[in-house]
Amino acid sequence: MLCKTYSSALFGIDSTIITIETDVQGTMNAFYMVGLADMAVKESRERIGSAYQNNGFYFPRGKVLVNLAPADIKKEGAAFDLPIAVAILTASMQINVREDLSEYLILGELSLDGKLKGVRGVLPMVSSAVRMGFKKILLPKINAKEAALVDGCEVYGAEDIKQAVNHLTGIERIEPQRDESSIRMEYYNRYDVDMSDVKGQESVKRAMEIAAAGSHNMLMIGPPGSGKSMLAKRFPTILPPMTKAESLEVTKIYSVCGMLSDDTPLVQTRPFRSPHHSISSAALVGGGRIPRPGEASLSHCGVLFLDEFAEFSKSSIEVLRQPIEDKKVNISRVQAMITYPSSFMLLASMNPCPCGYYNDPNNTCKCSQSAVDRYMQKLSGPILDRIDIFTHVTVESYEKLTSRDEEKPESSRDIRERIDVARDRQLHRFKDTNQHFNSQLSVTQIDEFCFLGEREEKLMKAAFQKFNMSARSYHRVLKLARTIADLDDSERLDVRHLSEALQYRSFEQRFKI
Amino acid sequence: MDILYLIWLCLQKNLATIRIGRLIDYFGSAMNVYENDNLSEYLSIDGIGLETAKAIMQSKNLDEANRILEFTQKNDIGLVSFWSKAYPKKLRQVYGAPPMLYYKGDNIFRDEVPSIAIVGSRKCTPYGLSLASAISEELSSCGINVVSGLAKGIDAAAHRAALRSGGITTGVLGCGIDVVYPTGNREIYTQIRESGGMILTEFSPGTAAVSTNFPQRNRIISGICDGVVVVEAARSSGSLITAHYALEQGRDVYAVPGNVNSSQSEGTNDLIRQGARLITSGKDVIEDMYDILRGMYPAKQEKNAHRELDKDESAVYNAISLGNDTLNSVSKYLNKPVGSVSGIISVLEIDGLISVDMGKLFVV
Repeated sequence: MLCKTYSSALFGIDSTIITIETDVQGTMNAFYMVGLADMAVKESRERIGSAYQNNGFYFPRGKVLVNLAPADIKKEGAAFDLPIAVAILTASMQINVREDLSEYLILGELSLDGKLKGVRGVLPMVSSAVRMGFKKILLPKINAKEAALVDGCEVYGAEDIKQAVNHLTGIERIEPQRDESSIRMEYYNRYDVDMSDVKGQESVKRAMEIAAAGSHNMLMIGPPGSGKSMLAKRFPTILPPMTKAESLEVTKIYSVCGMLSDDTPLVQTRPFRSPHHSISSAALVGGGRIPRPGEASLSHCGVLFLDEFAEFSKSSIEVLRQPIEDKKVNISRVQAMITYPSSFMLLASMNPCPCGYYNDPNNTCKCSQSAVDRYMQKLSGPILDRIDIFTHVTVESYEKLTSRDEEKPESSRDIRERIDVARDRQLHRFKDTNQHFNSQLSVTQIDEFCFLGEREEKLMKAAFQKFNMSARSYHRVLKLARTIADLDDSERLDVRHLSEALQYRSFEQRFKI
Repeated sequence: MDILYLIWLCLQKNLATIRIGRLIDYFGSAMNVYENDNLSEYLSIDGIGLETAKAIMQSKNLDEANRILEFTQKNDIGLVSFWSKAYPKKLRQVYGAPPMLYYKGDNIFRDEVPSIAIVGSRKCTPYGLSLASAISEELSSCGINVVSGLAKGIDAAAHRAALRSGGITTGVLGCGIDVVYPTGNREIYTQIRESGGMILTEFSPGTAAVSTNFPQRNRIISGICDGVVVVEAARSSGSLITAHYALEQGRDVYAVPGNVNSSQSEGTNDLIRQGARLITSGKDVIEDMYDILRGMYPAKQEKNAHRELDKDESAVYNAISLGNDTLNSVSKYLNKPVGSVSGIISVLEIDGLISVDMGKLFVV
């Protein structure tokens, strides 16, 4: 008899429905699996056989033919164990399925005793299945909560093959899993750190506020111990909460990587990734024989923090150009081209020189001027062009660090309130486009949204000459000024806004040969 | 064609300038040195041992020298020997003066033009940069030839300022005349030649910029000048070597005082302690060297009074001049949000009243 079940194969952060056709016929014992299955899929025969025996089923006699369609897509992983096992049982007429199998998407890896193990990428697989019209999902219990995030389907989480079979045959139905995450969404953005932990450093906090408001990439330069990493860790606390759509998109990426925890399947806080500087370029943007998302995608909708920016290998830094520009990563393989979203804000920090103490008031720098220059020149022009805010972190005095009488620094919540104002203005500004932030303003839009009055024009002209600015850095200043004005809740670009934006310009001559 | 033999002689390893001088004094000309084939004659010269003499005997080949001579002719590079009239007079009086100079530039050395060297660290602060520029501008607008080493930092600032004010300036290299080092100074090289200034070196074309060359070239910097101004120098800076040569050669040494805490001013403050003349502007130098530079100081030259600052601007300006050197400290001192303070800083920066370097604020 022939039996069809449906499962799913990952494809980037999307997935394709795989039809599993199983036929058992004749008396000659044989097992064939066709349809570009990799080793993990082919080995499922042994796992299924053992799981059958330990649960009172048997592997049928005769020729068992399993076809995974469409046949031209490579299938990998062990998620096909359960759908194949169910299909063989049905095809060999060991069980009588009452449910309509064509409504079901079935996922799950079997262990030898028949228990179901969790699989990667449940959220993207389930959401594309629902889009394709599947109404019911049968998968391991451990993945049920994650699958329940998708609206419009019933999710059944089974502990083992027996429970799954009993559900399908109607002997004992499983209760559908409910989505609990919507209750939890209220508790967004709970961090155990806060901007008010950092004493002093108001200038950097201000720069971070602007960066967060307009999603401007930012580079901090300062000696070791000045608080760069401490500030960076607190950066996510001033970011606005994620919307449900953003949250789902991020969860998909984490699901594909198998990085979700069992009890909180939904990623609710903006990602903050800080890879070490020894990272390879493939790990940074994604890649590998079987492509996986890299750090750039894992920080989608969040922050990619590159500490010791100048220590990263040149190739690692350069591969970031595409994701920063296009907000996505394309990975080409012989089989297919995979796209991972990677709309992150780049936050980088570096020392001013190899020893770190250039211009430090308390320590003497031991580097020669050419060593300092070389260090600064490690960052290439195209990367620097993509950074809007350059800021210096200076060492705070002992008095400042230990003072108690002073008023407490602003909390993240206070700062976020101002950022929310700026975000609202941007949402309004870009409501008919697919842009979200001022950092994405094009040159023509700059002319439209950054109108300069006579005084402002005069200031920019003087600044252009004095600071030897290029056309590109000129536009960068205008974009930043737009965000600063938004923070100020002002439609007009004022001299105040422009002149502040000028302080964050790149000290380009430092980076030039 | 004695110059060809002189090039050959200068190419000899182990032969320092002093011994080259003795050889030529003994034999009468470089050609005679070359043509002598009697080992004992070489040995009779003070300071020349058996090995050196043998080395000279074995290296009698003019190919390399010919190549260099051809190269200089092709590339418009001038050659002047110690024994020619064109050799700079001031330098001739110096102990260990180079036997030969390569130069680029149309103006042959004019000894009547007063020359002042402005030297300092490559690694310098905005304070040093702004003073080097200011002093150089003052001096060169009085017609003084500003001499420096074409290095990064203070040297480059001095050259640039002299070029800006339309004066003449001389760069003394620590490498071959055709080598641009550091490459960032390429535009200064070309501008110096276009403006009628001069670039010179004792090293043959193609010599790389090796660190040991620089102290050696410093004696030429001080040697062709009447006085040396040290703008900024750390404790072990090469500029202090120039100051030492200057003292040995009987030139005046001037030093710009600096912040006691700044490591880049340790050397200059030390020089002042040892008796160097303290100067705060180019005018100080000119007044001190009255005999040579009489009447050259133009009347105006007062720093342009800056425009009226408004209340906030002058508050920020004053806060910075009181020593609040970071954005955070200024905003704390004035109790104003950093956003507005940094805006005012930009405006003051555009007006050239303060400068910002690596997050530090300076009053210019």
